[in-house]
Amino acid sequence: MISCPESEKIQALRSGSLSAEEARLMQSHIETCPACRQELEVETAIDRELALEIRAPEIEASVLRELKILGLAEAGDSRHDFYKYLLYAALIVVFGFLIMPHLLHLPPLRIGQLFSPDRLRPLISVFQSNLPVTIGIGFALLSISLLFSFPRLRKAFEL
Amino acid sequence: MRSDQNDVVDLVAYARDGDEQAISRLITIHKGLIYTIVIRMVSNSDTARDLTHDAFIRAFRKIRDLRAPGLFRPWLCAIARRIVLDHFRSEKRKRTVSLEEIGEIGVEPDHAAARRRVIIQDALTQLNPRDRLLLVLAYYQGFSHAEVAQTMKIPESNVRVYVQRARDRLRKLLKGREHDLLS
Repeated sequence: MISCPESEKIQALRSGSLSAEEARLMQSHIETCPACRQELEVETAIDRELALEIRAPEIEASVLRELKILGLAEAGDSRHDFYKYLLYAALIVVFGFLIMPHLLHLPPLRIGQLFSPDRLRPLISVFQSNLPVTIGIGFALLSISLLFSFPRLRKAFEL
Repeated sequence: MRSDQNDVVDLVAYARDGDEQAISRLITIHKGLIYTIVIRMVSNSDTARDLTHDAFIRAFRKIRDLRAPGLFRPWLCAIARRIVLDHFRSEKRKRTVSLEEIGEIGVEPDHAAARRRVIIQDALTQLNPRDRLLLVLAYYQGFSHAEVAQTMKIPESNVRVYVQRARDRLRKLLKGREHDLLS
């Protein structure tokens, strides 16, 4: 291959690192220099090849199949599950210890008495006597859990 | 471009919850890039397919560790890079690639283009894996220097220089092949 000392500047010209004046001079030189013209063609061919995206095979189904086998497409990561369950726990506390006692006209809640037998006994009797309300609240909690557990449902409700 | 990026962010959010459609769509969007990176590195279509598959499996197993969904693409590329480097380590030898193997990387009806691809891939395999990956990423359409930096874990300000050096090394490896490249 014939060579020209100016061909060293071809890459700089292509990458835009020459000044405007240098670039203009180099362009004029290329028009009259076969070696530099060839070098420019080679550089262009290399760049074109490097920029090619090679067509990938179909792998979507096999990846999904393996993720299902691993149970990872459906199951969540432990860290995010932790926050999800923390939210459920907070909802249960709010409904169970604040809203429900209020609905059932129970006396004000005192933490010290929370698990004393004297307190639990009337609570159980209230549950027994208000079974439809208890079932209703349980159903509401279950519905909220389902909404947060299934992404498709969550997407449908835009939560 | 911006809306594409927003789409990817939404898809990542759904994929985190195990949404199969979102996972499938993310694979479809990114498999060309990942497969291109991998096959440029390993020069064998069967191995490239397997490693691309493994890269997506590893990505979706760890997708909840991705803190910024907007950085899904460089994060995925970094996973592919690690998968390929693990593969090289497990092979415990630097692959010497036959021209027949290189020819597998794409069925090209144009013989001149096929020859050019073989010659350039042959030169690429002689570069070290870091230079090879730098060039593939830097020349991939729409891949920014910031994304190259995030994938390669190098400062963004150094990307241009590193890419230029890798490009110069590739050009040196192609010295004497100019006629084949242009014919």
